[in-house]
Amino acid sequence: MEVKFLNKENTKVEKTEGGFLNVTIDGKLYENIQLVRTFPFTAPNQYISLQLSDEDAEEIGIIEDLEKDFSGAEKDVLLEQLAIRYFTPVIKKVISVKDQAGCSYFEVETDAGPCKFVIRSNENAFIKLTENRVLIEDLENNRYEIPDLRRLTTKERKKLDIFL
Amino acid sequence: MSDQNKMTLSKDRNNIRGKAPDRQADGSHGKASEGPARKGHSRQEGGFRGNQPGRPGSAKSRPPGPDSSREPMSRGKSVYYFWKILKYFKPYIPSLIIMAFTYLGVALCNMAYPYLNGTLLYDRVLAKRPEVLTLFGLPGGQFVLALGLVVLGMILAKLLIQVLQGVQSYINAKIVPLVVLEMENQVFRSMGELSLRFFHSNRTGGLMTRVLSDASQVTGFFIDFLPEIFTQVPSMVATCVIMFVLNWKLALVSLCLLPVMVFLHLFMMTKGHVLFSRRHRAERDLTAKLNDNITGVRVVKSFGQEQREIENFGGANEEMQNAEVAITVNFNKVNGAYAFLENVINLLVWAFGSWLILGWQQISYGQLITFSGYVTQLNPMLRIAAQASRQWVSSMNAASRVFSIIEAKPEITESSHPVSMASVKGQIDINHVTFGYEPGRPVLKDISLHVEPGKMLGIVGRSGAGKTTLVNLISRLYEVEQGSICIDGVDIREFSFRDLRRNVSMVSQETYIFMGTVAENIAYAKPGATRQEIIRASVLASAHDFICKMPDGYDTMIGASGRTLSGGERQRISIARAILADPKILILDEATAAVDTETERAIQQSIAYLTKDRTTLSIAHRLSTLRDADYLVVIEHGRIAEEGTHDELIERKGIFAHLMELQTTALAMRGLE
Repeated sequence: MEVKFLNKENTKVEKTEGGFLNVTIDGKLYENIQLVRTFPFTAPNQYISLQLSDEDAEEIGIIEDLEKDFSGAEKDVLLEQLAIRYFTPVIKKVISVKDQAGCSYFEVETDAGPCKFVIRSNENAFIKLTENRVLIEDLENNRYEIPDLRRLTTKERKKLDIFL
Repeated sequence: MSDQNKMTLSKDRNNIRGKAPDRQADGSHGKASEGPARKGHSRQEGGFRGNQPGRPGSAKSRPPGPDSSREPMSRGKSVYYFWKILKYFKPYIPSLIIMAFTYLGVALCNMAYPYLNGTLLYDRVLAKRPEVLTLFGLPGGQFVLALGLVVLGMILAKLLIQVLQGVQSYINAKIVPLVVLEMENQVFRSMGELSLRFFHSNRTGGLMTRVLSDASQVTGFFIDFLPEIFTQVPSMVATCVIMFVLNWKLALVSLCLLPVMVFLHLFMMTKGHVLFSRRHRAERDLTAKLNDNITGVRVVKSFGQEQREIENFGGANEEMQNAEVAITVNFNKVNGAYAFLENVINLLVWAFGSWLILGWQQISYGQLITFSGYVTQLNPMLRIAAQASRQWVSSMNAASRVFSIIEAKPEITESSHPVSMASVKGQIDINHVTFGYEPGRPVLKDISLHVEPGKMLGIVGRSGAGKTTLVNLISRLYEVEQGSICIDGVDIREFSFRDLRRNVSMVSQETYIFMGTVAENIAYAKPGATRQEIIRASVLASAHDFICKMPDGYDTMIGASGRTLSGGERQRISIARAILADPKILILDEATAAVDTETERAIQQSIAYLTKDRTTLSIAHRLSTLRDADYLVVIEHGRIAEEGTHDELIERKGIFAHLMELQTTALAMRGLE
């Protein structure tokens, strides 16, 4: 019942041709490993759990601090895998928010391009991570992040007032 | 009890020994242990106990009763609360002085206006009296200019009133929320210091209203009326003096109905308290009903009782409405009476004034208008006095409830000079402890136990035997009535609360998940815990795997408005909490009773780790979970009925053996053992 901490000394990380992640820990190979952020909001690159991709999702170890414990190509591979798994577009601009039949229709500009999504018009769709950092979860469980509400214009913030 | 009566065990198991109460030769209990403890305490309304002299940190209870709103409030008590509340405004004295000046300014403008409007305009300017030009320093014949100056003066007076009232509103808006906030925080702080008994003897709804609504009600009178009264009273006196100077006969007519108004005012002060008490009780019941329904929605729905609950809620809501209507109706009656009296006074003044002009030519028309202006000003002042009486009753009524909590002396208090016990070995001595929740009905009777550090004591007994009560006493959630409980030889009443809570932790059947993230819930007993510590505790509690499966891991919001957890998941978080707290003494109160057998087996591994090298008191109905206990006691009707090791008790074929047999048979029938 002890946590196995992983670092570049005891772990080798490689990306397969198919884009999956293989990990060798103390000489033992684990294929098709998935990365899970245990603290996705408060410490996204710390305490990353490495789990088997089967139904039980057995944990094979934890990376305490990705920035410190890995470097170079291995670190890049791990960050890439995390970016794929936790793809969360960052909202740069709120173009419009329209309410209709209990749903709110958003049109926004994100760091991944323009986007339209729908949320239920209740407070649960907005997750306030801090006073100014917000996650929005749409009807299909996709997430969008507003890292700092203060960076939006007053007009844009007014469109979101009803949810905050 | 003499030492020879203590049942000392062989070296292997003498670490924990029960000190059975004195018994007579025939096996019956000695007189000393019979009956409830009556000495050394008295009880008050609401189940709170009075002083227990001679004990360190002993209870000196003067806590609130469950329904202090039913108590009649004397005038002296109101005055006492009045001064108490004033203290909350102390930090805002400069703002309040400014506010008082604004009221004074408004009052002066109001007093000047009738003079400008009446005597100066009609009797001087419009009558073309030359002295008015001298007053303004104008050359002869410039009456139009004088008229303009008077009108300008009237406009300025009205403008100044508006500005000053704006300042009043600003200061009001600044001070009120802060005072209410401080009062609400203090009520909440004081509640936190009160014992479990307080929370068990007061309705949740009533407590919620005390924090959420009473504090703001208390400040109502002080903010809306007190500053105004301070300026209105001098204004009223000044107005009366001016009226008497202008014409004492008209003044007497104006004030002839004042005694009737004072009577109405006093009448409503008395009746108002009853009405506001009724409203509070209705509000409390309504909040309690709502809280009950939302908390118990699962039971309501599973038994299809929605309609009945709607009707019940409707009933409580109707009572609230009736209480509100009663207040409004009664105060409207008084307001109606006031309005009637005002009109009568106005008519009397005009009639008598006209008679004085026409019949006796004692006063001018302008003087009558001026006089009438003062009478008109006097009316709102009197009406404010009437409204103030309503607000006074409401505020004092709420204050009685608020201060009943703020001033309550907790039943369980910390020793003024606590012994420093930051870390203990974990030896527990329970010496002749007697305790009951109700007077004359002891739940525990003369219980004595000794537990060596690092050993596990299993406590067995039927429901209601007193097992949980015993462990609650060790945590000092309740205070023992007779006897004492010592940890490492020091009475727990000598411990600081901080040291006691740090050294004694409990994992109970009723796990509570607070609104917050998983990490915050696990670190509840150790707020500064690192992420690594939280993960380590979760791994040991077999909670890490299911937490990682949540979309937001340890950052997932759980509790009232978050993700729902299963019984087993809640229990594992509760165990992780205890592991992180790392207490020397651990209490397991039916820790696995709410989970299925498979989950229980998984949790048992975590519990085995948790109990390692800790003094553990474990209560369990599933006796198989107590196999690892070093020693077992069976509590029956508040007394230790049997004690010994697991094997000894089986051999004895007493209560424990009987319970064990029943459970084994039941489990065998279900194919579980």
